[in-house]
Amino acid sequence: MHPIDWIIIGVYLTWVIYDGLKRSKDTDGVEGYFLAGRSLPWWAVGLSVMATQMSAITLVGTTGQGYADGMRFVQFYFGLPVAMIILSVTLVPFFYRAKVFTAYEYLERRFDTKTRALAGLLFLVSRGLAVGVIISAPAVVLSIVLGWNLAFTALAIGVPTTLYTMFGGVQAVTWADVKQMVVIVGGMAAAVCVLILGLPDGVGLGEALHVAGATGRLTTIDFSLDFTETYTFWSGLLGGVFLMLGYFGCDQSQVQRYLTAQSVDAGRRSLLMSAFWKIPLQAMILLTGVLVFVFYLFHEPPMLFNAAHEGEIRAGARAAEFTQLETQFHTAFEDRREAADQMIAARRVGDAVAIADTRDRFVDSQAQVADIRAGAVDLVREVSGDTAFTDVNYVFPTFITTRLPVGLVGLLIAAVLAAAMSSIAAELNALSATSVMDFYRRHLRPEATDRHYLFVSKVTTAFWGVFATGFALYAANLGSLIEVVNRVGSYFYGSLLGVFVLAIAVPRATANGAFWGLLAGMTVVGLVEVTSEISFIWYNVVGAVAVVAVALVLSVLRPSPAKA
Amino acid sequence: MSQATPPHIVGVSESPRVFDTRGDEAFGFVYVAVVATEVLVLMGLWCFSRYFSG
Repeated sequence: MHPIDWIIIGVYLTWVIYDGLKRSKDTDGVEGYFLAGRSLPWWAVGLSVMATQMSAITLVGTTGQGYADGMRFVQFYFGLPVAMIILSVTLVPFFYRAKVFTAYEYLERRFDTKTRALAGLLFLVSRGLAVGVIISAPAVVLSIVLGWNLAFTALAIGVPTTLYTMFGGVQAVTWADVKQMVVIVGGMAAAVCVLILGLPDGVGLGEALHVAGATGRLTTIDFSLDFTETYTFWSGLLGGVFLMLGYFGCDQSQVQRYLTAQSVDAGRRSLLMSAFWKIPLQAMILLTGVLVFVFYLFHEPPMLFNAAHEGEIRAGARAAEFTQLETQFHTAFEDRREAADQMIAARRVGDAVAIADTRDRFVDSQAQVADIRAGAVDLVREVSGDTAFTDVNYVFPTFITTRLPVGLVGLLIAAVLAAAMSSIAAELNALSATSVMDFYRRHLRPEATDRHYLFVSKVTTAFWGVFATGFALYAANLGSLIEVVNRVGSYFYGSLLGVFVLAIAVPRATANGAFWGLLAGMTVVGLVEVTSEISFIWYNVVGAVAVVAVALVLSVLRPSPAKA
Repeated sequence: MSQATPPHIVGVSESPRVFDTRGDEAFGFVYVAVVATEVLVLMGLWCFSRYFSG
């Protein structure tokens, strides 16, 4: 990497740490540390909500998805605007008026200590591990693409984030998120400009998109009702509503964002910002991935973007096989480029028969390229034993480091780091809030001074930062474990959503009903996963419905003494 | 089964109103705007998809 790019990354890291440390002056109590004294403007909170949701792996994974699979992933977010409206008239005013520090705090008021403790524990375990993955996933990608040491990369992400979150609290997290969203959106816009300018002379953007459309990559809506498919209109709209309600309504890392807002209305506005912008933003990121695909139609890409095992294969017994695949890939690429040129020429003439013929030829040649890539992936998996090997997440970072001009490389790497750090910081802050408010203050030291809780909160943030960074170094070598950790959220969100539905909408629900319902909901989701093929997006519906059903039955069979 | 509520937690067990639209400003128009925007965005994505994929 060029020294100028290093300087840009260094300036970015110094900036976020310096600003975070500066914010510690505004944090003189535990309410200031976790909730910024409920004083932040809606637009800053709204940007923080969006930044928290967008991790680095979302950024590079989504562009990779756009490259490999197209834009249908955008359907995943179709339920988000509806969920935000529901939250604006239910949980947002509810949490805000209850003056709670954490979402789980209310569960004790409504039910009992054990329900609060179980919900808090689920959050700590699932998000504590997940934040390690949020660090390790981009660290692995960046270390391979940039040739950096893996431990150095994980530390470069984890240490600065822990420092500014620890000292600056939620003020630092939120204002860093605002800057990070600017860096992310600015970096992506710059990448889109380079991609458009990188089209061959005479090839317009519309013509290039028609070529991409021939492969189905611009298909954004699929109306089929298939419960095994994650990315359909109905999965996104119906399953997505429950997923987003669970994530934004019951996950402390998001609840804490809007609890920092100046008023109930400010909290609502901060969520509705996502309702307006999330789908267009995701569509833009996916379209960036499609544009990378278009770019590589005219500029030869590497056969595999993930070069992690390349040295091992070239030095091994099947090196000749790999080289042969590369030769075939080069020929297939040239054939595909020629087919793309012919398709564009046919569209210019407007000859319908020629358009159809050239389109068929292009689709065939694209299939051939895809087959060779799939063969290469299989070869890597067989030789290396890495059965989880994939290269989708490496597409965009490879494009950044090999095709962008000096300066923009640094900006885009900073954008990836910003995406990682914004999510990690919010998680660390929320993990600390739950640890201190739901466990330490509740069970260990209920009567200590505010100054004491502030100190413990900072120590707890540091603990979670060290734990997450340490786990990231460990998780980097455990592909299957990462998948397991990511799936934990699917068990957790829907079931927890069910408990909050009981809390605010079912007056006759008892504490025991809620507690055992929560455990039953997660068990049912686990059984559904093992025994059926339905997509994980529906787990949240299953979990929420199971919790409410089981809790209602238990509440009817054994009503609380007051209601008996 | 419930344990005693600690001193720092105020309030009692109660069910709040399920739908709470109280606030300093009326948000009804904003909610309609969110839904209208989503419908427009989805229609835009569908047209975009049809135009370039056809």
